[in-house]
Amino acid sequence: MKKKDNTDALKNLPAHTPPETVWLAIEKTISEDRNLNRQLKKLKEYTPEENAWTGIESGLKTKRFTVSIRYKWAIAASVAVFLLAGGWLFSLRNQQKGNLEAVIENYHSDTDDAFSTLEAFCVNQNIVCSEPRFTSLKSEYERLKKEELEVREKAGEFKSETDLLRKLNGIEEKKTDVLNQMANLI
Amino acid sequence: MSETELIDGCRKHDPKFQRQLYDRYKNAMYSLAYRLVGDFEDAQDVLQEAFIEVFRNLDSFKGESTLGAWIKTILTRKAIKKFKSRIRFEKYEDLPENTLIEWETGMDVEMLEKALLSLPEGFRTVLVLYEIEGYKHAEIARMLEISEGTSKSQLFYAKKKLKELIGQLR
Repeated sequence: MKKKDNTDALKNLPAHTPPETVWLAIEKTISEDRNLNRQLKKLKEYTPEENAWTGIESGLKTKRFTVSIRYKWAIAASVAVFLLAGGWLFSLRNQQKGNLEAVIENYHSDTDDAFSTLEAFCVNQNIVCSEPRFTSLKSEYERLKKEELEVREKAGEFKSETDLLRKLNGIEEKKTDVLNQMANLI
Repeated sequence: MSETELIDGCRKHDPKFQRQLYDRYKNAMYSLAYRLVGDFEDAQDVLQEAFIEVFRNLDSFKGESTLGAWIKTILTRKAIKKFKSRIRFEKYEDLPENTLIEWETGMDVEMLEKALLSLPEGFRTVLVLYEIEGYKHAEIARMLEISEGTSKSQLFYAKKKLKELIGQLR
């Protein structure tokens, strides 16, 4: 019963009135927020260009998801192949020491195959492929491809096939990364 | 045409209805996309991606919110996905005791737009979503994967910076 008495006592504690300044501060804050909000609501509306609708129409006609999964698989497969190829390249290094030309002759970029698949996909799919992020990744890939070609052309300048392979593998790794990012956008 | 008729037509994949739905919401959505990503080209990409998703998933729209609010959520998520990697939320200590920022009543709207677009992306996103689009801090926090506290502090510092930028533009 003692517990009940305590509860009653707590209920009977006196109420306190906050000073008027509390309300004034609340009112001022609300009214300042309203001032900003009112102006923000007046910001003008923009109209998209007509080709935005054309893009939506063509996007709806494309069986995008079926295609993208297929291409993602192709790219994922190429990445797996690349990892295996990395192993192959390094084993080749141990077997054919002193033969830089043979390395170049046997060198095959699997990411380039995947990139060609992606380019073929872009012929029929213009939404993702024309996005700024996608085009900038594509340019980055092409730059790396050019860098790889230059390395291959200057193969003779490398001290050993180990150095050459390390350089080529480094580029191939970067290409794989860029390709993966492109695949993720699809 | 009522919204229900429009939705029914779009669910039947009728291009005429799809176009009408797009026309009804395109300006509001494009303007929101532009204010979030800060670039007309990116805004158009976001708009396209969002409407394609809207038309493809209209069957899942249960009418729990208005159609406009549903489209807005899809578009906002698309926009966030686009710039999330480059967005940075400045770290701040707790909010100051006095968070009151005084605004003039007759602010020039063009100047306000300019200042808004000059805000760092983290600030701008929270300000646009909260003040213009009416999202709550809990919703913004979920969308941006930040805490509610961060959303609140971003908003306060965004307003502070906005006022500063308006002052500089005068």
